[in-house]
Amino acid sequence: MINLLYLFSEIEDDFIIEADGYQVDVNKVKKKTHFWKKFSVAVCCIALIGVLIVVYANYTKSNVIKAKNLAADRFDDFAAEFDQVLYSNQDEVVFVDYRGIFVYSLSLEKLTAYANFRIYNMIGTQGDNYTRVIVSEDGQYIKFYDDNNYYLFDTQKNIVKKIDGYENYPDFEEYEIEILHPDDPNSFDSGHPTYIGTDGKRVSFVLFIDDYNSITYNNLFLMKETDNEIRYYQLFK
Amino acid sequence: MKDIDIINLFVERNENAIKETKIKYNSYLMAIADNILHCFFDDEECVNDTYFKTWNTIPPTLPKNYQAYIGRITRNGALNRLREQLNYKHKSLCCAIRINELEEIFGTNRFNPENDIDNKLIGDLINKFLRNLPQQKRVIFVRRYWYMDSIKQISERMKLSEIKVKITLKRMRDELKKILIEEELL
Repeated sequence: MINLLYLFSEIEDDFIIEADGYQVDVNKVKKKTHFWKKFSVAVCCIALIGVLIVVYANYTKSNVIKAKNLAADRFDDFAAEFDQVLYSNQDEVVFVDYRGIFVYSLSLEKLTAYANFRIYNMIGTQGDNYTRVIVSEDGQYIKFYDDNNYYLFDTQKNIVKKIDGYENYPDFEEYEIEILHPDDPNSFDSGHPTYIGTDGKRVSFVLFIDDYNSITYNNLFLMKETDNEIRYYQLFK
Repeated sequence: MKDIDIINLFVERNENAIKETKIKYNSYLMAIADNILHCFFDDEECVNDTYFKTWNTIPPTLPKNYQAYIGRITRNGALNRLREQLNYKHKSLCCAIRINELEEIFGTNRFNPENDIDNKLIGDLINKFLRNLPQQKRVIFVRRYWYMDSIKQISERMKLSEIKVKITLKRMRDELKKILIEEELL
């Protein structure tokens, strides 16, 4: 039976690439809506424009958008660029997706730093013109760059600095998250990836969407499993 | 780094070729594998196999489209791995729904992977069929049967309702079946 799936292996390259990069032009999506639906959408739009004006005013002042503003935003594509954990210790998790880099404090239970890719005209971490993200061993500094632009993100101060290159900045050891194979006797039994944290203790982090009927950031949860407990964190509340 | 530069690294037998491929396409390949295998560690092994096979095949192969080339290796590798798992009854058939849909077109015992001539003809016909479709329908078809996306994933990507996606797929399957019968391949 499974042999049937091989039939489609001969699909031409152009169709494969087209299907990967296809973006729907939202303006061309025609929807049949009733009057009240249209009315409520219009009201929401006006409210949204108001909110956007306020957000934009703050935005231009500080050049940093607060991560919690993303809470109601939906994921445009969560297949290849779903949030990935890049760094963790007992108190902090750094993760990245196509919108930016997020630092979450497990003790404070809130996002403490955020670098928004969009304001730097960066579009994502995969494919052409991708953004490369490198975390330092202590988790404080993050380099992120594409072909033309270089940035240094200080996660403690929540400041992103545009720089000409990394030559004039103290180099740091790149942190590479250590993942245990499920056959490893030290691996958790849950089947989720088990990491060895910077303190040498084992921990498992899983990012997941709680409710697929509402695919927004405020439905993005983090499950943390240690030897003693399992805890859930709502990242964008 | 551009794809052509990565290919050049392979040609020079420079191991950075794999490092750069991993940086640029790892998540893309993991998504393809995961749609078939649904297991993080199997996905990871499958993608590592892809890097190994790519290293062994470039050169002499110089792919025109590098992204599609490595995507194809990953997809076939994941299907092979799934087939092995099914043989040893290690895993339930996660792609069962997609296969049921394909059986609607091809029947239950029609396809023989050893019969290269028939398969080449069917492959050409599928490409011809795709070429004549509007772009939106073509993307839906390829996402479903090449990338193995779920209906939910497709509806999110295409900003369409799930019902609309299901109906579109059903009509395309019927159309493809009709063409295959006309060409006497069924």
